[in-house]
Amino acid sequence: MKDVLLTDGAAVTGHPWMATLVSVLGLYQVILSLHAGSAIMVSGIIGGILVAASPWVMHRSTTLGAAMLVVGTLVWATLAWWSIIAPLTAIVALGIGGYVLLQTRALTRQRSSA
Amino acid sequence: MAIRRKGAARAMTIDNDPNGAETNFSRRRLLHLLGGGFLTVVVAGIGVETYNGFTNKIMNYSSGHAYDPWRDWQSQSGPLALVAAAILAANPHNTQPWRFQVTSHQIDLFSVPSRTTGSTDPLDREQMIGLGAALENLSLAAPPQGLNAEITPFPSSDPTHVARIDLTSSTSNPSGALYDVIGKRHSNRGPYDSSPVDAAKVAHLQAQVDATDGFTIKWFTSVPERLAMGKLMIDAAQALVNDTNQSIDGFRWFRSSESAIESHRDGLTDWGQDLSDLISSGAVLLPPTSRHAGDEFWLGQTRNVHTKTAAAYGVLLVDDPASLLTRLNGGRLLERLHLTAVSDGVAFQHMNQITERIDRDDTTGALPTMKHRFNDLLGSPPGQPLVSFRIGNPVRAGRMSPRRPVAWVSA
Repeated sequence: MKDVLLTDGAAVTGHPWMATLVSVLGLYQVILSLHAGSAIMVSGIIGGILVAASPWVMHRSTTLGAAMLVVGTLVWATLAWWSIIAPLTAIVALGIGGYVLLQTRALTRQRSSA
Repeated sequence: MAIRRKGAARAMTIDNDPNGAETNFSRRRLLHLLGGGFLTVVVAGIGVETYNGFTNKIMNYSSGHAYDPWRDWQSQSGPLALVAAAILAANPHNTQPWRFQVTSHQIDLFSVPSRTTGSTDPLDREQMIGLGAALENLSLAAPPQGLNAEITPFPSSDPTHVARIDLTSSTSNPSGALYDVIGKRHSNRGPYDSSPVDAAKVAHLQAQVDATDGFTIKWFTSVPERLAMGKLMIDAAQALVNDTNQSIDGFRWFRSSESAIESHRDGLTDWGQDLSDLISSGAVLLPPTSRHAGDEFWLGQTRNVHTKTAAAYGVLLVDDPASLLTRLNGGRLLERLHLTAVSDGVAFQHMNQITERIDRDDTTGALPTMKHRFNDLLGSPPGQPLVSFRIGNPVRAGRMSPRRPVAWVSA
């Protein structure tokens, strides 16, 4: 019995709903950075876009997706560590994004072995 | 619908799927769904705090228009440049109790009686001192504009007409050290480090007092002196908190949200408490403070930060603290003291809970306990206390307070 229930058409990534949550967190990051000073604003906006896109590129390259996720969250969260919300958002994005990464990797292996 | 366990596979199978096909519903899948639901709730919660953080400008508290006057104060020219400097003056609870009538050759300064802290300042002592501070900034800003400011205090029978400033052209155009730091002057309510303030810097402050007729200053610098003064400050803060009217009147000027700050552009804020960025962020993300919680917070800060880390206290002494002219001149001197401290890199915080309690006792007819205790502490100096402050070497810079722009306070 297969546990992975995604159909081939939907299986662009390991878990679409989790991928959507990561993208939403990236959007939060962009929104939070709009009022920030220059360094946090730039790292937040660019990083947020990277985070939002990361789960959707993982099926092409898990390495690239993971790099986008890590760079997108960590630079911003480090610069704005004192804000509480930035490191919290980053930790949750990394956690869910990591899960999506593992799912995507497993799915890729399954498909290639099929 | 029947659900049956599938033995070693530990999976459940749901029969009678609406599509007619058998659907596998494993325990792992169930856990995925529960986990997904939980994470969705977590992300939604972060969304709420993102909205909170965005609307309250958590990443840059001073990015709103309420702080523009600190950035733009030197962009004006002529008489309005003087008003732009005046509105940055120290004043009680950031009530900004001023109004200016401006012409090309004259500025009239008026008090706004409604902008009061009520029972916290029942004799309007601090309000007049704040107006004096505004007058000092206005005076300091005249020479750089090529103007000479001739000040006439209380020029008419109108009790709100505080001063008339006649402006004439001046050939000299010096920009003084005190003028230069007007935009950097912020009350520093944060912790100060444990080192004493350099004696030369204290001498600069003393020189400002010595140069002003009718004023002396009592310093509290030794550990026993500071402990005694700190104890009285804490007791006065406790008495203020216990006095419901004073508590209500003080809390009325607390702005707990960005929308309140932007619409009023006055009052006290979370960021203005000069807590660390981390703690300030936490305060912004939490629900608005209640009056009781705000009182307890202030009392705690007075006990654990303000008095515990003060390097020295200063008390300005005068013959008659009830005199309006003395208060006005006291405000001017106090602003010069604060600007001198900023110019020397010394942190400065106005701490007037003792005189607030003395004035409150005077107006309610209560036993003047605080007055007696303060007089005992002051010894037998030549004068009565007008205002108090603490100084020290700052751990972090004081933050800006919201300000109403020139256009809102002048006509």
